[in-house]
Amino acid sequence: MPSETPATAAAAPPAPPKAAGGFGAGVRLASGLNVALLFAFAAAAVVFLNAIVAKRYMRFDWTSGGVFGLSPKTKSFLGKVTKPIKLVVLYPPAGQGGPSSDVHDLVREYELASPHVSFEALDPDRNPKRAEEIIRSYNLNPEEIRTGVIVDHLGKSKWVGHSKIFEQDFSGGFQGGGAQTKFKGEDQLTSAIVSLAEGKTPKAGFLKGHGEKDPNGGGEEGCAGAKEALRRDNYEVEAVELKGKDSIPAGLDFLVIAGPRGTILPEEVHLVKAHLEGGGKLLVLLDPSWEGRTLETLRWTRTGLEELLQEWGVEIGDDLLLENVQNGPFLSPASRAFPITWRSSSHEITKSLAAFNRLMVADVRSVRYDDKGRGKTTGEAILKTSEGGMKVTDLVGFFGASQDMRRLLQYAETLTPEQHPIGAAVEAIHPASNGEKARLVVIGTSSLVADAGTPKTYELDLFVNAANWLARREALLGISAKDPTRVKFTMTGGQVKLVFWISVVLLPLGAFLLGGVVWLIRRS
Amino acid sequence: MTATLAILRREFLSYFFSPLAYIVAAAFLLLTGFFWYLETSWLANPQIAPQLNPVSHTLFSGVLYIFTLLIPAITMRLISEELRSGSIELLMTAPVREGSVVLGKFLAALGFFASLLVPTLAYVMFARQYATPAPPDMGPIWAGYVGFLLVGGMLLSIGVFVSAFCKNQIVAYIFTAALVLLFQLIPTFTRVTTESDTWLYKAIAAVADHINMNAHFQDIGRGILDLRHILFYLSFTALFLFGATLTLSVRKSR
Repeated sequence: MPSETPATAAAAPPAPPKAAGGFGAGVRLASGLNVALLFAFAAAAVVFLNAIVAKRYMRFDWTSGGVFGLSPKTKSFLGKVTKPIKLVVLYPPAGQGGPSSDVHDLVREYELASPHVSFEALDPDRNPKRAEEIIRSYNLNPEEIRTGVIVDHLGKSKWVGHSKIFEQDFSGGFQGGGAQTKFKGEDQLTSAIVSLAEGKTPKAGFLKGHGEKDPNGGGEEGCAGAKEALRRDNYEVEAVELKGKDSIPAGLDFLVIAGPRGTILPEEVHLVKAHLEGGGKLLVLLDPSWEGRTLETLRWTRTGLEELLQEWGVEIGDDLLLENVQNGPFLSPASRAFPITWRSSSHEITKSLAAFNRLMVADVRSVRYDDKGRGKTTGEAILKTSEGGMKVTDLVGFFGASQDMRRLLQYAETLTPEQHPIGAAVEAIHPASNGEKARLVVIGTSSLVADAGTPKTYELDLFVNAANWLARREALLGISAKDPTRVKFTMTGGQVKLVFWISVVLLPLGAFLLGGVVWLIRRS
Repeated sequence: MTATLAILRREFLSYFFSPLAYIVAAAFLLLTGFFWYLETSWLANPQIAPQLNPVSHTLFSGVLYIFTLLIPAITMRLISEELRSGSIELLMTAPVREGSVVLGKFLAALGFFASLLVPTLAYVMFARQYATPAPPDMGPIWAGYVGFLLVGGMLLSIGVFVSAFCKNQIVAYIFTAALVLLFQLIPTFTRVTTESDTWLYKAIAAVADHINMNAHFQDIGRGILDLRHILFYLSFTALFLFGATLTLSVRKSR
């Protein structure tokens, strides 16, 4: 702070006489150089010291819950890793706090815990070329380049997306993407590393031949997005044909039947049945299905799987579910695209999406789990509509009314809104399975995986979760999610004002007045 | 050691007999208080609070920039005043080593800086009083105060170093503020440039990243005391104090 006496040239003492002649100037130069060199050596020592400690250092986590440390499970596993693992962090550079920081900090802990773990932090704005390479190498969507972590192990990779890393709360609306409530990064990254390090690539088979969604196709009939989502989760995907075969191809971890339109032949259903009874895993996505050229001839159709599913306690409804919105049902007979507000259960498949309860789907039918007290299977409803779900069973009445909005609304009034189950997960051990537990997931729509319609994000997450449950890859480790311990203040308006008066007025004013008193004392 | 303690005592007390020290304190408390009031009103707003960082981040965000303005004001007088008034000649001819002079003055400034932080504990008390569903985690908050002392120590050492060069206190203030700002701005090099694979870019980026004073503090403010961060602040503090000592020794030799 400035001196109280004015700094004037007159007040300054006379300058010391300058050294005379060249010899004095030389000595001064040498002295100056000597000092500069010494300072340069000291600076080099500082750089050297910092460089050494950058490689070998210790960290002390002062948070009460050890929020930033890795769990013993992860450390123990990383201690056994002998091959290189690369983590590519797709979050933009960490600012102060926030989700990006959480992920960057976590990944740094992995790097610290094992010499075989390295990480690359990608900033797509500053390095668009590298971003393009990453998108190409790992088959990402361009919008995914800003959220997620890629785990790469010896050429195999898994993409861990934002919705897996953070639990989000959308209760306050969708603006801003929802608040992060839990940080599950460690569980997800370690699970991904473990699954890659296991060396086994699970295989999913998509049934074809009955108008199912094609994993190798695009457009209206394709589900290439679902295939890509599985591939990013380290699955192999292949199309499977059962006609003329003796059994389900060996080596499949689970079979997917995604929206068959035609009838599945009895001999094919028999193979699927044998697959399940042998402890196999099956994912069925069944759309509501009807036929008829005229209004009068409309009738519900079946795929041939319904009886088999019933044996496993899953009842498929001959119905079409609609979502009741503010002014009646959201109806669009031309596209039959109805948004359904989903109510998820706490099942492994849906719990990570519990907070995100709105998925866009089209053509949904009811899927009810009911073992009828036989005790042959255990299962539960994993997905339900909102309380505003409306069930159409009368095709003639519905499509007859759908030509005219007034009649349609009248028709809607005859439907009673209630919550309908639309998905079930079932387990059972069949006597013929040698103790291997069969798993079955049935969902009343294939639009979850369809390339057509609205872009899929959480819908595909749900699909991959179902695949992981079937392949028994869910919660590989069960490391607890970490709570970011975000707090809020519960204050009245008066208390906020009190904080203002104390922080902004009283404390500074007190210091100022004290300075005034000191000034007065010194003056007197 | 005795000389250091004597200088420390004299300099430390002189702060409290200077009305301008209180003006610095008032300005510091006004700015931090205003930041705190803003954060309090946000945290008390149910719409905004869930989006905010933990309270320790909130408490410390922005304070580093306040240091940029105020720390040069604490140090600008330290040696410049001695140079201007000529009393440095007396000090240099006394049986006191240059290192003791620098260390004594630095520790006095650090003591005054630490005393500026004491009133901010009122903010912590507010946080404990009003935070829900539970009081904030105190670990990161105490770590943040340790971080303040480390950052403050480094910035004060820069001020002492510059002060050893300048007879004019205003010049010392400006140069110190500029150097401090440089430590905060150089790291933005890696944010505003396009990445390149050249070794020169990588070397500059590595250095720029490492001297990112705010990034080192960021971890500490989250409750992580990392040896790298501690060493960064301590080693640069020692470097600038060494530089100040060298500067004084050159003056003495002349």
